[in-house]
Amino acid sequence: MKQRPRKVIFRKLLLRRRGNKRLWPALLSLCMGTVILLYAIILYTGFRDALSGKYDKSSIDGTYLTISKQIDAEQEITKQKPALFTNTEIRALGSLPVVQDIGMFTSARFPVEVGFKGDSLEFSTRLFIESVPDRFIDDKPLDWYWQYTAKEVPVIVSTEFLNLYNYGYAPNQGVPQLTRGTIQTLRFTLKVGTDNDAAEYTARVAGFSHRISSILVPQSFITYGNRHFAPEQQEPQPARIILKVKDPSDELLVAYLHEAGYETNNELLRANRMRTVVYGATLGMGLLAIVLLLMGLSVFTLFAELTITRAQHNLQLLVQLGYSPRFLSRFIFRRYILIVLGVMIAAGIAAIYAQVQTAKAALEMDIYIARFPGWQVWVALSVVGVVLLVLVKRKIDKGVHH
Amino acid sequence: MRLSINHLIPLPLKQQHNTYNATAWEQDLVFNQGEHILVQGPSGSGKTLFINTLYGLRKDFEGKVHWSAFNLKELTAMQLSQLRAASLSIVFQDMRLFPELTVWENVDIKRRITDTVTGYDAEQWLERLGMGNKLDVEVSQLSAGEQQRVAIVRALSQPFEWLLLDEPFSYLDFFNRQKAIALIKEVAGFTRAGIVVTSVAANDDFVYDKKMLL
Repeated sequence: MKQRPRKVIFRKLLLRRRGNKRLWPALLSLCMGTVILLYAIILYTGFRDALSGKYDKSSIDGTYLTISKQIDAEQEITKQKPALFTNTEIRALGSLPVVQDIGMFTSARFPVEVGFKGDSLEFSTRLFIESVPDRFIDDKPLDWYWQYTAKEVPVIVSTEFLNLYNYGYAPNQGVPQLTRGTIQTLRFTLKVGTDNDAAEYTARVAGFSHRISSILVPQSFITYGNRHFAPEQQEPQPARIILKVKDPSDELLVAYLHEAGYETNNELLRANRMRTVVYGATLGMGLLAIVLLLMGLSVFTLFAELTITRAQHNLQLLVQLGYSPRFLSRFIFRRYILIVLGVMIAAGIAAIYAQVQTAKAALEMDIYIARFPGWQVWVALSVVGVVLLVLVKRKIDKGVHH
Repeated sequence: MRLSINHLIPLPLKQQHNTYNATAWEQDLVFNQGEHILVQGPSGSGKTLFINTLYGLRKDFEGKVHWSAFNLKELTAMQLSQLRAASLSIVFQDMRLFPELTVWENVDIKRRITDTVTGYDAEQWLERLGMGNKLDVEVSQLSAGEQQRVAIVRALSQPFEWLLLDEPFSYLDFFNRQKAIALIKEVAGFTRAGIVVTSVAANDDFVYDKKMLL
């Protein structure tokens, strides 16, 4: 006598395979709908994180904004003093909800001359140096400090300057291009002050900054230099300010800066435009996903209903023999749990793959986003799964009790 | 478990039944566990209706049916399934087997609801009724008589305090009928179960304590 497990007999009675072909399009639709929904969330959260500077190295540099006042033509012609920020304006900026931190650029008020003497390159030029509070520096070097007895001054140079040299000046003047490593081995002379009261230091490039477009030295060096070599001792108001903001594309911030006549880097506007495009695209994707999900859901629940209808006679007889409707309902539901789990696992794997690929593609554009899906994706996946199971359970219960 | 019937009348029979002959409808009846009852009546008199009502398959009746303290009309689906699984068994007139399952599977699916009857016993019973060599045959391949024997063994493969038999031997020849009666008496005797049998004719298959005419 053939002994078959009870579940095999039940499967034969209640879950006939005939007609299962209709299940595949429903599962495909459900899976695609879920994947698109998850991908919309991945794009949305990834872009939002990039904007909010969650991964600080992002070249969008969403967290930090350098702002200055617009220079008008009259100011240019009359050679008035540069447009400086007043204390009231600084306080007003600091009180904006989106602003998390505010820092002032401190400029050297003494003459600075940098010189270099090498085999193929020799130059000497006057330039400006500035400092910002250390907490605003990206990739702060370990030896980023200066004491007044030290003869060597660390310098941070904007990567933009390096690019200008390597791709503009060097090919044009026929001098060699330089890597970051090479530049960091070079030593420059740094002459500060006037002839009567001057001092000479050795400067070395300690690091590069994506964030700040300037030549930076430690704040202690600027403070010391301004005290000893500046002709005027009165501290002027800052001409540039660096802000740490939650979201640089925040519409209120954009409107405020525009109204106050402040200028900032174009990244802000670009981010704002990108935000609109990405949010629109993700919204569209989300809607498409919901339509697909609804279609899949209706076909899937219809399939569940059809399974029950086909098994109605056997269900009825099993109940008449003494099986409880709850037991039978659970048995059928267990099959759908496996199917839904399968769909959700497939969608989850697709979401992980999509996130990894998106992170890779974004990295090529110098935008850092998380390599693995965040909690939002898993919550959405769970919600879709639970809704699916609840609807199917209700259909099964209704069918079995009927 | 006591069976109490109070003024029972199925709605389809309300206008039709013969009040002079019917001793089941609209009566106050009490049957104690262990009693054997014959329900006799011609075709169409409502024997199956009576059995199905007692088994809880129909609720379109007036009056009350109590299995001990449980009012049949008020039982939930869960309670009804528990009653059927542990206390009440039936042989349907139309057998109601699963044609796509084998003989053994049809018996086993009932047996495993409570697992109180051993597989060995169930197999022996099938053997006694001459079905031992057809355990792996699909029920759809069997004759009506064979199906009836499977239905009888299936009904015995669970614990019961009452056994409802709706014309259970209608397709059986004399010898098979005797074998089936002996088996039912033996199994029902273990637990002193009550038996309700319907039949078109009077018979002495069991020692009846009560006889009712429909």
